[in-house]
Amino acid sequence: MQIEIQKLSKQYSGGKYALRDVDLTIHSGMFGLLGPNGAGKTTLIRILVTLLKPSSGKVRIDELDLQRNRKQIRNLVGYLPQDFSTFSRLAVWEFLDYAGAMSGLRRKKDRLARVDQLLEDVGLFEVRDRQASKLSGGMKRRLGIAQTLIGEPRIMVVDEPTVGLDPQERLRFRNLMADLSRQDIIIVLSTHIVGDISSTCSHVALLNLGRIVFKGSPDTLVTQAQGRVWKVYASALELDELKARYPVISAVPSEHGYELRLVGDERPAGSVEPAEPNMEDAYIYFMQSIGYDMDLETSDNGW
Amino acid sequence: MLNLYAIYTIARFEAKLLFRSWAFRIFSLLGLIILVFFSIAFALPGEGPPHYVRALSCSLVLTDVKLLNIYVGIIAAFLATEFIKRDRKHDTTQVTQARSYSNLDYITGKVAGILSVFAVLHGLVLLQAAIVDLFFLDSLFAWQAYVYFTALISLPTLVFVIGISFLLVTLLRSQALVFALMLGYSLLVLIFLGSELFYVFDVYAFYQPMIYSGIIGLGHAEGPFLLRGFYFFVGVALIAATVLLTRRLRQSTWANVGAASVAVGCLVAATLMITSHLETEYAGRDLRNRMRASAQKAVTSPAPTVTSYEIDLHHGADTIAADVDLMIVNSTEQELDSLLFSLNPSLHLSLILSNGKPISSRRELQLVWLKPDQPVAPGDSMPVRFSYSGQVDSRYCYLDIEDEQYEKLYRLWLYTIPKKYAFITSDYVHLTPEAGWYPTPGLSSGAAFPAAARQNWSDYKLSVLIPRDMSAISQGDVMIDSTDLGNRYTFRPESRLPQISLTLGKYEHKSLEVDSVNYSIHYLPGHDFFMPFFDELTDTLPALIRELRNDYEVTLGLDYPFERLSIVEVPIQFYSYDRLWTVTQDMVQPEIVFMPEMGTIGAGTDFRQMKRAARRRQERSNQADSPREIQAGYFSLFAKIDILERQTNRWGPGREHELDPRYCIFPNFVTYTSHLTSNRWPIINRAFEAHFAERVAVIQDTRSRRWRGLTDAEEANIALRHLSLADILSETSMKRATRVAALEAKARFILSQMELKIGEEKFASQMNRFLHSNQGRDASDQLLLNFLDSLGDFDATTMFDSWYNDTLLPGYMVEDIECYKVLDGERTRTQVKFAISNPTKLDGGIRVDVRYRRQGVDFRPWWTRGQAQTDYSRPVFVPSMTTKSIGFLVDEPVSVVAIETYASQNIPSVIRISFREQKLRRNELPFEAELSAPLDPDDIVEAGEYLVDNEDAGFDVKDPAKENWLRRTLLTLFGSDREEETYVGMRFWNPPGRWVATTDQNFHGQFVHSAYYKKAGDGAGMATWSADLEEAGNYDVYYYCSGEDHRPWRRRRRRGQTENMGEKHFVVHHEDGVDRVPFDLNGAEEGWNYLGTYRLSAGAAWVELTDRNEVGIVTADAVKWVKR
Repeated sequence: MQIEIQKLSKQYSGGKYALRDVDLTIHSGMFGLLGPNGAGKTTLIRILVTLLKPSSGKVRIDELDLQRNRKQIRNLVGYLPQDFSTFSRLAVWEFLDYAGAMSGLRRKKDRLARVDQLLEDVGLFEVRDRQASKLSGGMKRRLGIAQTLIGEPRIMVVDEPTVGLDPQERLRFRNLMADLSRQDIIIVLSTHIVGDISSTCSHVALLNLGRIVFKGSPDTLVTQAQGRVWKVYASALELDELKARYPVISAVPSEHGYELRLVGDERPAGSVEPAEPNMEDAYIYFMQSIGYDMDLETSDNGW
Repeated sequence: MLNLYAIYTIARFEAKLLFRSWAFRIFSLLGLIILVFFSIAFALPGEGPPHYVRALSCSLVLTDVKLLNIYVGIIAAFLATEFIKRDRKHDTTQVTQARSYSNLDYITGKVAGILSVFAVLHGLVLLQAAIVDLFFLDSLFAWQAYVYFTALISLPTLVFVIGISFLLVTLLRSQALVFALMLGYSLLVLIFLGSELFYVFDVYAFYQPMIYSGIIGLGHAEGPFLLRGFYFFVGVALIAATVLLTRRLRQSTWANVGAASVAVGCLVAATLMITSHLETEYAGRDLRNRMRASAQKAVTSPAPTVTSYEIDLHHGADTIAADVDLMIVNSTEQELDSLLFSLNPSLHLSLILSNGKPISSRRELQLVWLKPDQPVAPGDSMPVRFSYSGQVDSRYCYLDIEDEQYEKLYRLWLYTIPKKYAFITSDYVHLTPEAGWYPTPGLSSGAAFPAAARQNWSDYKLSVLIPRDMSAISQGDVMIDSTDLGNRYTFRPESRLPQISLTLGKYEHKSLEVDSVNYSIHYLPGHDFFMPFFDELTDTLPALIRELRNDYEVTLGLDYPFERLSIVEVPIQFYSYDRLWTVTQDMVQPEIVFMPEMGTIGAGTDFRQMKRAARRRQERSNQADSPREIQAGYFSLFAKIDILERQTNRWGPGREHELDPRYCIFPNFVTYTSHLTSNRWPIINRAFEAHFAERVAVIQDTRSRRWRGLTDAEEANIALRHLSLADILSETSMKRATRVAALEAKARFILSQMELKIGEEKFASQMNRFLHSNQGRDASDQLLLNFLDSLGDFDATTMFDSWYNDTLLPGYMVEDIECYKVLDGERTRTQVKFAISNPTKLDGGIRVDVRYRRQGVDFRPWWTRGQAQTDYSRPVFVPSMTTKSIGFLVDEPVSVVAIETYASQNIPSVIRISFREQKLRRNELPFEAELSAPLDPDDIVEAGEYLVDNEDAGFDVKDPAKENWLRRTLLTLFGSDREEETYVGMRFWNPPGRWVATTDQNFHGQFVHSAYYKKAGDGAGMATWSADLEEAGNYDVYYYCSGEDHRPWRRRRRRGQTENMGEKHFVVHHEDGVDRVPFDLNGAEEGWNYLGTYRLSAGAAWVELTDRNEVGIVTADAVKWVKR
């Protein structure tokens, strides 16, 4: 099973392009869609789940055309949106029951069994009778995953699933996703948090200003940053100067000042040693190299 | 195309969410509580609502459904828009929207969910209504009403409201805006637009005529079906349009095509229904106009007389077929080459024969012209047979009634009852002469109006074959023959009648013969709610009836001319109007009074209330009347106020809507006994009736004047100042009630003038003689003129001419009405005394009505207590320029003296004074006389006295500039800006912000006792009296302080404290400038109050009154300057 995206563009009524000439092929397994806020990830995802109409271009899922075969595609897709919340006044199990019925599970007995199974899987069985709107952020997200899964979709589309979760929940979520990715389905995971992707995705695409700026395996992305990640020991005075010149990934206070991790084509002056790049370093390096202003001081602290 | 499972799932969860929403729970609970409260109020054994509410077979469910409908309509607008808001707000719905179902499935599911939730609420409401209906109300339970009202009222409204709310919120994307729009529209419809344009805007079916009769159910109700269907289909179309406009990407082209087809299909259906509805209504108007036009063309055509009718009628499923044999006589003085008849236009004439041979004829709508081979010579007769069949078209009825009145709502509280004038259904038939169900010579009275129609007096024989489970009711002696096909009823009235009626239905009856008159009551099975209230009367009923009859006959001076008197219940929809030329209505036929089912709108049929009131009053006064006496009490009362008295200014059920129907049997004594026709004075028979009706007149209740401003009779008097009787007859744009009252006043005036000249007793006995000698025939005006001329030294023709064509009205000044006890020999009697002057150029007459103080239990419902049968009455002739001192003695203590001024310039037209306990004046001598003295014009105004009343040219008012702009604009926009009324009522709870004129006997005035009043202000409003003084000098200035000035308006009087009535602030202009004169109302006398003496120069003098006062209102009445 594969999703083939050709020359996909979305232009909003103001004339602004949210997506521009996106070409992408997505195979089974987990696919990471990475990009800063406003890059066009959600737009792409909303197009994939048939909630939004593209301005031009084509999307095919195997033999199915996204525009013409909405009915079949909607049967294939499970979607977890960014700000998932549930109807107030429905219990956790009722919400799943509703989602199950809506994805065509007609036999009540089977459906309820599946609901319980999924609640077990996502660790919500104990709170099955609680009002869904009264769950914690992480629990809600897990409920979201459960409702995505209830129809046994062939394609799962998950938009920014870990935003706002505490580290424990985030870890739990990543493990859940990793388990899922072992099945023969496509999981499209859109995020701006690199950590969500690094461990599980076989392929990633980087989206910036509506364009695909990188596609390939996470390893290829990391390779590009090889020899461009540095560990620098700097005093408090030097810190500001370095911050102004390089994207600083982390700054850990130490005995003599700060231990910095930064990316740069050249070896910075001072007490510097090369470091082994990881996904995060690679993402920062890549984005910086294409001219994206990585204002890391104000960026999301989550990663 | 439809994914039913998805629809079911969406509906299921939408319903679940709605049920769990607090908005819905609170709304529903509140609604339920209110409606259960209504049910309890309906069901309470003692208290309870008015009889008509308990007696109508569908009243509770209709009340509940109507109220719930408005309530649900408004909530549904809120809840329907809620889900769109929810859809937009949460990504939750995106989770669902990404699933596989079409937009059609989605919207259908949502609608089904909302509908199911409201269905549950509706079900609960119906259930509680049904329980009360079944076990606690008088009327029979009719489950059909529950189904009809749900289908016709609730469902269309709900679907429409959901549809329009969905569409609006989809387009406008703002729940608040849509809800505000829906609320605004609802208010607009409920307050202003509801009954406009044949109820087209009435989305809530609040005004639309719809009722479930215990006799005929909904009746023919195409109107509601079409209109309600219109709303239903528009609702579905809007819902379907929402499917197309939903922003979710479509999934199935077929679903969209389906939705579009539904939208278009439903719009087409809705358009067809609404156009059909409007077309029917406009076609009705058009048909009536065409019938009027063809009648007016034929108005001068001479008509034959029919001396006998033999009607053989068959009743089909919803048609009748009849063979009618007539004997025609040419009673005119000319040859008739064509014979004009009227017959209901939808009765299809199949054959017309004369002497067994077909006769050529021409038909134009309701008119049938027969063309005999040979003209019919004067005095010749000719038999004719008409054979016809079909339904009756009720648009033929009441052609004289203007469209506005004809289309006006027949409304009882929350119910609008469709007006019906005839019924032919498979198990019920009710036909009165107005329906034109048998051919009548010439034009019907309504079609001929304002010209006079002749009354045709015939011998009737009516035969009708009906199934065994039905019975027939008509006039005359009845024979019932059993045949294979059913029972054949043959009716033969003993005397010539002007008309007959026919009613067929599954009636039961009870009858009783008293003094050779058979009294009966005919009712449908289960409608004998009255029986338990009269269970003690079995033995006493004959005596009671005899007494009532004798009393009435003695007062009226005439005997009941028939051998039967029946009360027959007819469907609530049956309606009749006041006619301008007669006191008769179709509700009353010879020998028969038709009353709406279960006595719904009778004033005296609420036996439950009357019984309870009687008991309570007994307890209070510590009396012990037996149950039999109590039952006899309210039986007599029912007979009096519904059957015997001809009520005019009625209160009680439906009064606020000016209901016309009346059930008084008076026409049986006069109108169905004899008739007068005149081409010169078409209204003459009305005057003839009025003379007799006057003998059984009641004291009119004029208490409503206080808030109404003017009674119909007074509005009529104002109109009569510049319109003659002839004008009134043709002035169709005039308010109907005023026209009726004007005619009534004029009708009562003319013969009473002659009566006053001749003497009451003599005139009465002569008129009785005239009536008897013309029994069973149509007398000409010449006959009456000759008769009147023979009575006295007046010229009746001139009097009638002046009465008909002139606008002169007399006016009276009444002074010093007193009532006290005197010793008349051994006896203590009550002296009534007053002085009356007529300073006009026209002779006039008044009637003094006295009502005695009642002892014991008063059974009357409160709304009938003000008007009661007169205990003593006497006419008084008041010639032009004469003052009369009048005194008479009565045997009982007096509670009310009312002076009826007929058609006069007087306002109030009835001077009604109530008296408390009367004291004995030992020194006074009894005074029983009428002392006349010529009235000197100089006596009216004394020399050197300048009197300016608010009616005079010297009076003027200035309003404060402020005006409520919004209110005025709204009122103007929606046509509720009522025409400036001459006089308004005293609205003390919310006095007007500008000066308005109002009337009351307490105010100063020569004929019109009026004053201006307004809400107390800051002094910006001003009233001014100015006079032109002939000479300079010292003048005393007075202000006329009326009872109204003394009325405690706002503040309650606390125990032991006197009410502060505030101060008036006068500004008196004099030679040396102005003088501000505060006038303390607390110490003021009723009448003229001295303001001060001032030096005034010749020429203009004026006094101003500001609107400043500490308490509620300021009145401005009259000021006078008196030279020292």
